[in-house]
Amino acid sequence: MEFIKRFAKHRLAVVGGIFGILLILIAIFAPYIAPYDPNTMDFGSIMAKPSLKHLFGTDHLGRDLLSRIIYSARVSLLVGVGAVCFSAFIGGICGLAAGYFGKAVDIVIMRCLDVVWAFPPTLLALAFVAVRGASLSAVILAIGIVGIPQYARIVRSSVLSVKERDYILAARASGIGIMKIIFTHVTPNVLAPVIVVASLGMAGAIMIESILSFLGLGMQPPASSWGLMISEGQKYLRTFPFFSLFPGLMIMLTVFSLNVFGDGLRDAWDPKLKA
Amino acid sequence: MVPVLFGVLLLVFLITHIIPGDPVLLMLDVSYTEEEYKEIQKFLGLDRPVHVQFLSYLKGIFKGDLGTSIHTSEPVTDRILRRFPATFVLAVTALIISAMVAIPIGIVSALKRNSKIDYTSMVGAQIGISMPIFWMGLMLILLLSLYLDLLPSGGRGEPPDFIHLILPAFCLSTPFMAMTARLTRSCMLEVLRENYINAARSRGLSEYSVILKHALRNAMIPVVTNLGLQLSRLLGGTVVIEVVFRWPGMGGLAFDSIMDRDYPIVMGVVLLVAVLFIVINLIVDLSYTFFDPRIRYDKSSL
Repeated sequence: MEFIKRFAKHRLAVVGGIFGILLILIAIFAPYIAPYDPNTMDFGSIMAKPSLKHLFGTDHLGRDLLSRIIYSARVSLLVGVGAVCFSAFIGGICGLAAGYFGKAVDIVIMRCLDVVWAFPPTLLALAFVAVRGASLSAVILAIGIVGIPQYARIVRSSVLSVKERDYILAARASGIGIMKIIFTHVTPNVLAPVIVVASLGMAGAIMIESILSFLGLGMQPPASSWGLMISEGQKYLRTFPFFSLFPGLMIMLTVFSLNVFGDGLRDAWDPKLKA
Repeated sequence: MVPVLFGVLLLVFLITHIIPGDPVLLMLDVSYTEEEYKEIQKFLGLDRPVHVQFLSYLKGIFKGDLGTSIHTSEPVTDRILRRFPATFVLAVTALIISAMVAIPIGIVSALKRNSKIDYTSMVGAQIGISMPIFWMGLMLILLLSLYLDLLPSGGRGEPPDFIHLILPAFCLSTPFMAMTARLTRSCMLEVLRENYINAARSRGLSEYSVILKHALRNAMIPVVTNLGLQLSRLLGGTVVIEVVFRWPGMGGLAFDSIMDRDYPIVMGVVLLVAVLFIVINLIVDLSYTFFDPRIRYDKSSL
């Protein structure tokens, strides 16, 4: 309760959270919300300006832009959630092992992750997708791999701070197995920082997906993704700027909401961590 | 640092070798004979066991040889080095813009904590982090180049000039600007709570000299060292901006090479950026002792 009160004080974070929930609903119920089918071409109204009939206008193939933006929310969320789950799972296990066992295990795991850390995230994701071929799963995997070190580091440091507490020693002394200690006593303490990093990480994942798609290495046409739409609209920038404008605004709103939501969570959980 | 460097080399080597699609086939005509295939394979050194290939790859790296481009048969090192200066200029300019804008904003926000200025600039910073830079680039091109005709929309100018640098450098700098502003603000707030600030105030020093001489100096240590880390991230983050602004740098080269499936060049760029990241990190770590004499390293941690 205390936590919810503290979180509710961050009005911007609450707004971010509400937008996030709305976006999830939009993505799930896209077929019911979207006014048109995202792939139906209407050559009678090509690049129509925003009007009551087409709120955001239509693209170069006469497809309704609003509907395509709504359906693209699915891609962004899927990539965001998928990549974050992947990196949190793998990174979490690495961090738990490194922190709990220490010594050689710690050194080997963290050095390997330092190697991944040395590559700029976008460039590494680009190279990975270039090698694997562009597809939804390759994009999720690429962004997921790039994110692993972050989770491993934060989980490791949380484990280190929990490890020497008396209740862990008591559990060990009473002969409880290592795995059980990790999952019943250590994991719950590590969860809070991981959730914060995950909400910020989702913002990052959506951003990288948009870059990959914009460069033609993410979602492939006729699928729709905000980044891909911006790239399609680039050719018509002067004559029909709405094409690139709206998907970009959506990316910005989404990433902004997730970022302020994550910041709010962090401040509410642990005011000391405030950046 | 050395094990990480080795790991980076190993990873890049492995990625190059698990690429689907035989590099030998890329260099052959459609109707090739078994002998021609073997000859090219031998020419590329791909007939040897993997560990031997890795060793000769390592040997090459230490001589500055990153392999040859599949398409132009030029040495990869030459092609990358030709493009590197443009990227370096872009990254450094972006860093300077970001520091010049963000540090004053961060300081003012900290001094006027919870004021309207503070709130506006922190929300502004949050928006800056949230904007996709390539989209922002397109929108600025639309506004400043296509509508108002104030700035060029792309390229580097012939000969390279400053006016072509403004838009790409500004776009590249925005997310970093936002991060620096937030970091400066939080470091400044932390320092202002320290006892020596209270002591300085109680000795009757003017607010001006408390802020400038005592607070700022200490608050800037993490900010300045963070700028070093940002430079290494900037060098690897230019791909999408170079594509949008047709900037003739290393990121654009990497992108074109991905499209041409010229993997030696792609991996060369990736490797160079990663190695620069490690080296800059090391320099930053060492510079802490220079800025903050309280920190000392023993030899084993290097």
